[in-house]
Amino acid sequence: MKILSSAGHSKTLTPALLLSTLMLGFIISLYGQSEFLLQANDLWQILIAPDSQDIKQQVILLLRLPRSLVACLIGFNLGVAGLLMQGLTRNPLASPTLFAINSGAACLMALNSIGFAFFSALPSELATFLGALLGGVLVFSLGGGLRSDSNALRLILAGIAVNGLLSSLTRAALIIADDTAYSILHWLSGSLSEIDWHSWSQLWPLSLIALLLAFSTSRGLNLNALGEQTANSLGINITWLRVRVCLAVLLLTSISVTLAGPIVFVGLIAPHLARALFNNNHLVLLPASGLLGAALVCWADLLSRSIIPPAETPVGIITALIGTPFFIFLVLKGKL
Amino acid sequence: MLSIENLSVAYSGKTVLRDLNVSIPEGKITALIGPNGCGKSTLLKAISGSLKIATGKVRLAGQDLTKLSHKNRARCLSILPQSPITPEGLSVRQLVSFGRNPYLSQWGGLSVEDLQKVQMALVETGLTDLADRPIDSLSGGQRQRAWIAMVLAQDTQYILLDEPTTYLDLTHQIELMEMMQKMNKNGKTLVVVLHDLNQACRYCDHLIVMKEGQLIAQDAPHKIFNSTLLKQVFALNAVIINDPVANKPMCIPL
Ligand SMILES: Nc1ncnc2c1ncn2[C@@H]1O[C@H](COP(=O)(O)OP(=O)(O)OP(=O)(O)O)[C@@H](O)[C@H]1O
Ligand SMILES: [Mg+2]
Repeated sequence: MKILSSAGHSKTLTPALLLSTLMLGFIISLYGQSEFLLQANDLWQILIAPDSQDIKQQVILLLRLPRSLVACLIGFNLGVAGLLMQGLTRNPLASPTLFAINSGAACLMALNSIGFAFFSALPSELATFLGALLGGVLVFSLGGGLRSDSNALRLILAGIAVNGLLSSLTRAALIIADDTAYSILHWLSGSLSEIDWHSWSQLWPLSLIALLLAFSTSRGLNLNALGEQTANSLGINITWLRVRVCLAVLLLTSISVTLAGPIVFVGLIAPHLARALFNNNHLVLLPASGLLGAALVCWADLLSRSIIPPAETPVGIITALIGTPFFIFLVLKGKL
Repeated sequence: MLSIENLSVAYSGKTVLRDLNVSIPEGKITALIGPNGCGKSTLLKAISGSLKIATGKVRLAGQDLTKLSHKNRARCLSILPQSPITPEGLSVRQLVSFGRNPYLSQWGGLSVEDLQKVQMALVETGLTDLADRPIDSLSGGQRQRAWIAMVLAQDTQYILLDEPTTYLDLTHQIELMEMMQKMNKNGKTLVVVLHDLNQACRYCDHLIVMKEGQLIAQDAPHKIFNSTLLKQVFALNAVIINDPVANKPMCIPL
């Protein structure tokens, strides 16, 4: 009974609450915690009396708006990527962070930006994509891969090992490149402080493609939950499904890491919350997990500016602070 | 006709099926029997294309099955695995409607016909009252019926069932075997893995007997089911008598 009634509620109430949380976070993040003492009224002024000489309006339009948009879209991407990974592996732990996809992307990005060997010749998007691929492939092959009998513990250990390896490589790279180290260090903790409209124009086209690809796999993921053999019997080409899901995950994660560094744990938390709030239909879960991820990063970014203003705490540290207890909670609840 | 020609299958280098030649007669119920680990499930997996075939072919009406698209194959042939995964919170109706997947377009939903087929499958399996219950809240037997309903909704000519009677009490086992006979009367060809040899003889028209990945015998029960075969395949001493009710062979272990 409980299951039925909560499912009935969630049809309208939960999505509405979710959207309002996101909208609220988005709006507050446009003016909140600013050295220019922006106020909600400035937003209103932009709408009713746009003035290109007004410094406050310009701050909102040129700095705040792209930053909030990028925060939301990155959150959306990471939420979707996590859900895709959990859906494909049927493993509640799968996420860009634990499977070293984030740290792989970050590692090659760091090597790329300090100009290490041939990595410097790559465009940064490609470097992060390759890094994401490297991290994911390493964890999967060490952890027993997609075999149905591969166990969670082995995957976790592989994830820890590969994450450790890649982050020490990254750290080594930072030591070598002493002078650029500070900005990379900041970026490495996951930061949205450098975001502008150019970032947004880099982000949205690739995200759109990757998200469409992600949504095209939702029915396949619903059936994949029944096991590979059953899904296959119901007409799903498992190999093709895996290729599409992995490609979507790598694109979603790597483009986000390129812009904002590894914002950790969003891809773990958002899918779990989505599953707790909605049923297990991926057609619903994918947008839900995306919106939750967006709300999470948006609020975390706001929080990151409020802790010690005017300095900014990298947003990735905030998500890690929220994510780690959540992760421990999952372990204690025996979800793994 | 479904025919398996020179089929060999290996798991990471270890050959499990060796040069198997089997044909599944059209419009009949075929029982696949053999000791644990002899490769029955593996054979069904190879037929349904969820396992890579090392050598050999699976042909359906003369056509190579691996050449069919996944969707088209799923409209001809369905399989119920030995231990399917039941996701948390999925309702019986949702599970059964997954059976209609091969008939859906990429973005389209269930059509009226699809919904009718789902409803019919629920009625056939006596699950209408449980239709909105989550599967993980059902008993093992009810769960098994939900999986059968999914296969029914898929509405394929060939139906492969891997040990469908496990978890069922005797009454429900008989009920299931009778349901299979009914499906068979409606024109379906069934292949069933069974461990109860007497049920296999009683309800099936054709036996395929395997041991260690090889075919030992295939024919109608009254032609091949005898004590020599049981000794050879199961290392079992038994006498065979005639089942007075069904007039089929029946074994009694000594
Ligand atoms: N995924 C796998 N990897 C490696 N070996 C496997 C795998 N699955 C099955 N085997 C091996 O292949 C052989 C045949 O297994 P299969 O599951 O086909 O047996 P079965 O006849 O269905 O047995 P049962 O009656 O116990 O279900 C066994 O020796 C088994 O150990
Ligand atoms: Mg088996």
